[in-house]
Amino acid sequence: MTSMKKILTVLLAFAMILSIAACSEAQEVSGSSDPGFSAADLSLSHGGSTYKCDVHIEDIISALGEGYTYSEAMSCAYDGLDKVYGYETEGADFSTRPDGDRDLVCEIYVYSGDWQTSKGIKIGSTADDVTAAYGEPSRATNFVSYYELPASNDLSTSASLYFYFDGDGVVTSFGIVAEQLIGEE
Amino acid sequence: MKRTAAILLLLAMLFGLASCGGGTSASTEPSVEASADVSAAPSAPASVEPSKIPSEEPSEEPSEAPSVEPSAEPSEEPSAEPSEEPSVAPSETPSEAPSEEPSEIPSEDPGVETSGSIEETVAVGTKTGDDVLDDAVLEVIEDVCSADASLEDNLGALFDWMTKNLTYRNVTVDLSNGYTDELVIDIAKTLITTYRGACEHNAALMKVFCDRLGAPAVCVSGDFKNESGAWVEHAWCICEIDGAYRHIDVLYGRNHTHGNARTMFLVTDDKFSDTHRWNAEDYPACE
Repeated sequence: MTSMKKILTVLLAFAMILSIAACSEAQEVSGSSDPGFSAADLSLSHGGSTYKCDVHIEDIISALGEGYTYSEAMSCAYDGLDKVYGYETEGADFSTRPDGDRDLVCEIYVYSGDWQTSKGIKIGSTADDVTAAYGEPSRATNFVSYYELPASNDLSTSASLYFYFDGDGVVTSFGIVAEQLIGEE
Repeated sequence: MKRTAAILLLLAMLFGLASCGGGTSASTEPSVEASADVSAAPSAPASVEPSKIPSEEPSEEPSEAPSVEPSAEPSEEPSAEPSEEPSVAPSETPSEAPSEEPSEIPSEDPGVETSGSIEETVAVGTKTGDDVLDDAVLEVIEDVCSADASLEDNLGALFDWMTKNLTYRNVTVDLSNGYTDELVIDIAKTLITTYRGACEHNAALMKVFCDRLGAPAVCVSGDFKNESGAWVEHAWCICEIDGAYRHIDVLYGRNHTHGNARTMFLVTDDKFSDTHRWNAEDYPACE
């Protein structure tokens, strides 16, 4: 009788441990799918390729071709020329800042086409979709939400992912911006 | 006894499953819904062909897809020349004056009692008439200004807010008609609602802030000298405060003073001309 009690006690304890373990596993699954924003989200995809800032514009041209429009102006922020390479067919503008004799992509702005973020947000997604994917924005108005990384120093501004919305909270365009290093010119 | 133990065992397992099932449901439902919402969202605006919208979950990059990421090795110079002529050419001379006569800054007559809300004590100046812009401006004023502070201190707080919260975006602004009221409203609203803009946007928003606080201002078209010594087309504003006119240049302060942005706040002509040039005949003298 005593041994039976022991066996039953062990079985009872084992059953409880299994239950707790199963619950813990479920919570881990939930945690891994929580919305959030990190440096890994600073990329956009289009046509099976992934695009990021802080690459030289030649890399973009190599990927998308030479069918772009071009404009430039002396920069009010950097020492040199601001340039914009517009790919109208793809629905994206690539802005650059001077990097010595070359130009680094400092912003990718997309306004049409099959662009999407690393978490699947695209033109036509809703503000709720954005919040579900990335959480609450770092800064927001009724027109735009910014998801920002901490800047590397007090003078610089953050690298960010942003979404523009129409009056109904639908994403009309979005983009990524590289960290803007200030005061280094 | 056996029966009791068996019942206990059964209860324990049921309890475990029930609590686990409830927890799983509560903790995972939001993410499942979120995922479903994203995929169920409108696939594209009217201008986008639905067939081009990927239906697959985009969390994983295609294994064969080229990835355009930062490369450590410098690549070759661009093989192609820009397809179009530059839309804006660098200017070696001061910008065209917006008018023959010096800009006159309309005087303020708040006529409002100085007690009560921030709108009655601080934001006593002129509104733009654009509700979205005026409301956004008031919201910032409420956040950073104080009824106990001086006009200069409140303007300084707004200047600081702009340098800390707004970032540069290289957008070309059509100034062929000068800084009309419509243009000022348009670009100031763009900046305060998106946090990003060029020097013209910063000049316009600073002017709107100044006007709203009762320090009437005008936007200035001129040039600044960059680190290479080249003159660059630029914009800032001049405001009237305590009977004197002073330059305020938010963008230059933020981007070219190595953290000393306030050196570009309420500056006289003499000091400002070290780094800026403008047609002095077109604007009030800041002496």
